[in-house]
Amino acid sequence: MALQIENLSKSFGSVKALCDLTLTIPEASFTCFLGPSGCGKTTFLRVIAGLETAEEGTIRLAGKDMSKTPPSDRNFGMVFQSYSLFPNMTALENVLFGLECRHWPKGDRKKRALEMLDIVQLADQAEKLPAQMSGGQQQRVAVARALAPRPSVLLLDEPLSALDANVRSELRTEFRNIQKELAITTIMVTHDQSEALEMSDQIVVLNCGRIEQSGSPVEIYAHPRNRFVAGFIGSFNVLEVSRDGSGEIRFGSQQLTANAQADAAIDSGVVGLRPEAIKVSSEPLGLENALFGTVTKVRYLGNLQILSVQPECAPDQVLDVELHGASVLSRPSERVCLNFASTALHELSR
Amino acid sequence: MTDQTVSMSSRLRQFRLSDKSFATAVSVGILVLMVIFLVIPAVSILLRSFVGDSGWGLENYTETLNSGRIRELVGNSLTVSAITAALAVSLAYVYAYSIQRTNVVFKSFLRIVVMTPLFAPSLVQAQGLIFLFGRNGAFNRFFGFDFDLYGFWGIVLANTLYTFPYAFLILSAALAAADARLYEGAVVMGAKPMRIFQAITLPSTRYGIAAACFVSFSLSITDFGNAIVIGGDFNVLATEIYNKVIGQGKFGLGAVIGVLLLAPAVISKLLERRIARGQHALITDGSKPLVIGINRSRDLAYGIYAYVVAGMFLAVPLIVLLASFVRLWPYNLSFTLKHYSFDVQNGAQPLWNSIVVALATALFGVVLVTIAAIVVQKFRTPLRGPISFLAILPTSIPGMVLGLGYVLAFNNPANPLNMLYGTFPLIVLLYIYYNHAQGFLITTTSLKQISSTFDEASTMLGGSQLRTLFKVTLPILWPTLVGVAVFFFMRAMVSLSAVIFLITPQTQVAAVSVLQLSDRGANNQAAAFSVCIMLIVLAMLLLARSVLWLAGAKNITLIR
Ligand SMILES: Nc1ncnc2c1ncn2[C@@H]1O[C@H](COP(=O)(O)OP(=O)(O)OP(=O)(O)O)[C@@H](O)[C@H]1O
Ligand SMILES: [Mg+2]
Repeated sequence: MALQIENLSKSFGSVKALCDLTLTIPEASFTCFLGPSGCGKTTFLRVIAGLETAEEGTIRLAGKDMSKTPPSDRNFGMVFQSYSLFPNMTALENVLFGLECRHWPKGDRKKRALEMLDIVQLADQAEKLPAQMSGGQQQRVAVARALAPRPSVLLLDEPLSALDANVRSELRTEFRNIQKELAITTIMVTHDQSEALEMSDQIVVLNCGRIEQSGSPVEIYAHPRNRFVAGFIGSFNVLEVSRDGSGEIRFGSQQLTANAQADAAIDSGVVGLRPEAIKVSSEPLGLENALFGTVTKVRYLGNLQILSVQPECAPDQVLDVELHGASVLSRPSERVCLNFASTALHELSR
Repeated sequence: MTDQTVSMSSRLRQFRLSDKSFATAVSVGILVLMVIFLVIPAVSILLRSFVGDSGWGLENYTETLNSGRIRELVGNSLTVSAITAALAVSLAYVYAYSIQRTNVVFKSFLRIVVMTPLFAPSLVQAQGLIFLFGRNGAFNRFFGFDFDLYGFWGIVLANTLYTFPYAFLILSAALAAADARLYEGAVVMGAKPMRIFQAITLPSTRYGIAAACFVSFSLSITDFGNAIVIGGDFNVLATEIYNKVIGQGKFGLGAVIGVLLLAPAVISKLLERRIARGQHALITDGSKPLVIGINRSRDLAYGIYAYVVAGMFLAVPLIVLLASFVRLWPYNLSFTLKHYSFDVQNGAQPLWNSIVVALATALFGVVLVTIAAIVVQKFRTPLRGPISFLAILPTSIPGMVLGLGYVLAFNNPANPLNMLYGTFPLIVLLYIYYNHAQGFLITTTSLKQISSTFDEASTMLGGSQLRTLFKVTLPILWPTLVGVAVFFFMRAMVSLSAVIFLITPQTQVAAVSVLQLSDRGANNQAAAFSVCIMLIVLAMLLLARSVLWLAGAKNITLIR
């Protein structure tokens, strides 16, 4: 079911944790709340769950106002960051707990619980206690437990952040598949942009209790609305530019060509340029823009090298460039040419 | 939404409402009990101190304070307690140091031996010391000396033994928390051991030392059992209340002394609180545990000290055990079991009474304390504040004062609960509320460690507060509750001062029997009674330990 959030505000004493948030979460979609630590992601999720009450605003589920409904009656499923399985119960008993609370018919409970454990591929671990399971297994059981009573919305608060990298990437795919299969409206909190990009239908970027931008991963990545979003999703080169007398965009001493849309919008004095949109060569490749510069730093990451380049036209700035699969290691102080198309330049608001 | 889910959620809402009224009812109930069994007795004693022969007024105070006797008593009490605190804390400090900072052998043995005073009524220390060093003690008799322990030094020694374990527990914790980085730094700079001790160890344990002093001082000033048994003609405030109330029936004067006794106890408790807060700040996040270096001569010196002290602690129960098996200590040392036939007074009845009372105290004490802790930690009712305040209030009320308060409050025909007076239930309630603070704090600490995420997870799944409590919280909490039950049991078996005013010939308990027997000179029988009390407490400890061990809960503290 779709969720509509309107004008939601919440403060803790003098700290304003959420400011006037308005957002629609479409039915059966996977939405990620993304943002730096302390930006209010968890608080937002907990307000939706009903575990915190907002001072202002409404939360509507399929058109019905839920703001006054206590959390236990909302029938939302929730998975917490730290393992929240009841330590005195086996995996199966944990999953059964919600079915008992929701007064499922006695005969159906066990079948449903085993079915859910099967969905998270833990049917064979049903009799284990949480302490006898790995972190990843515990989080799967937590998902099975949350989903068993057929919640109308599933809420996940950094469910993967306590796990190590391999398990995390495995579970990303698995959780996403389960979500698609059950077609359940899901909101996940994360501070990991790659997790958000990989899993979501919709990303909501939060900063200081406000929504900076919301949209599909492609929209957010390709068209960040402002400097904050650009910097937070992937890395972005931010170029300080100006307009000369004839209205052209100048980057230091050199003129740049942007596409018409970006060109029209550039008034803020900054443009964004994704590192991977830059092609490195020794001579210009014939794209609309080409700058010469000196390599100042090389970071070697295996399949990837990240070069920091000081452009000759604007020596007080530094551009990051990504080289994929290059077998030859670049060296500092090498002179290179940076080529990029006019479409690679994005306008950013400050 | 389907019809079924709609009706389901409306049913849930009804349950939720009853959930809330349940929480309110429980909170009110627990608060009412605290008011009846804690506040009213405390207030009664205060009020009674203003009621003299000629009605309301300061008559009792002027009479008491103007007598030269009271000045002498206050002086006696303060001197005894100050010297006791100084002795107990210095001895316990070096003892705790031996265990925490050197490689003496059999540390767990050394730890447990000094806990033995907790297994018996405080007056057993006095009893044992008399058997050892009294006028007719082993020492005088076998070595031909002629000194007399009765009086000032007797009380000081007995109270030193009695308060040592409390001081030791505090100092041991303070010495355990050491930051190795400081010590490594000092060694690198070439500091000598004595200098390191002065510059690092002593300052970092100063809060522990102060707290231990206050605890030892207030235990000593409010203790009654040792003073009455070994004090002889040397009177202190605690024995004076007893004389005024039991000897002369002057409740008003007794109440005044009770109020006087309350003051130092409350003050040292408040100071201890403040100090405990300072202690926490000392251990920072990056602290590194200390590794004890190898040093033979140091270990030998501390080892000798520790085993001599441990020997003293063992000697007391052992001599009491021995005395209970001989015809007439120390004149006729032939073996006999006749002191265990309990053919005087009420026979063995007080022992059975004590066991029943202690079991009831353990059971109901755990229930009441747990409810109080849950109300404070989990229920969002406005009564949390007053409940948590009253829950820890008893730590500052001496047992004798609370006991006298019970007499004043319940031995009063105007009190609707007057029928409780002279019954075991009232004694059980007194034990529960006398020891409420510690039980409550232990439970609260454990409850805090149970993540609130469990409550939230349960709420999100539609669980009510009650279901969460019974299905999740209590199943996790129970090993702690066993520990709390054992604590209540032990205290009910050994507390003397709290019930001394409340017992009647029909409601005699074991600790009071020991006092009465030794008062009548039946020392060997008194010893036999003490031995039985200690054995029952030990048996309970072993039982609880095995239950916990079988259930896999191995790190629950039972002795506090
Ligand atoms: N219970 C609380 N009492 C007071 N302030 C709170 C409370 N919970 C959160 N805050 C404050 O609200 C703000 C948002 O916190 P929140 O936990 O929602 O951040 P977050 O985005 O989830 O951060 P993280 O990524 O670190 O989990 C922070 O400034 C935080 O200090
Ligand atoms: Mg968070």
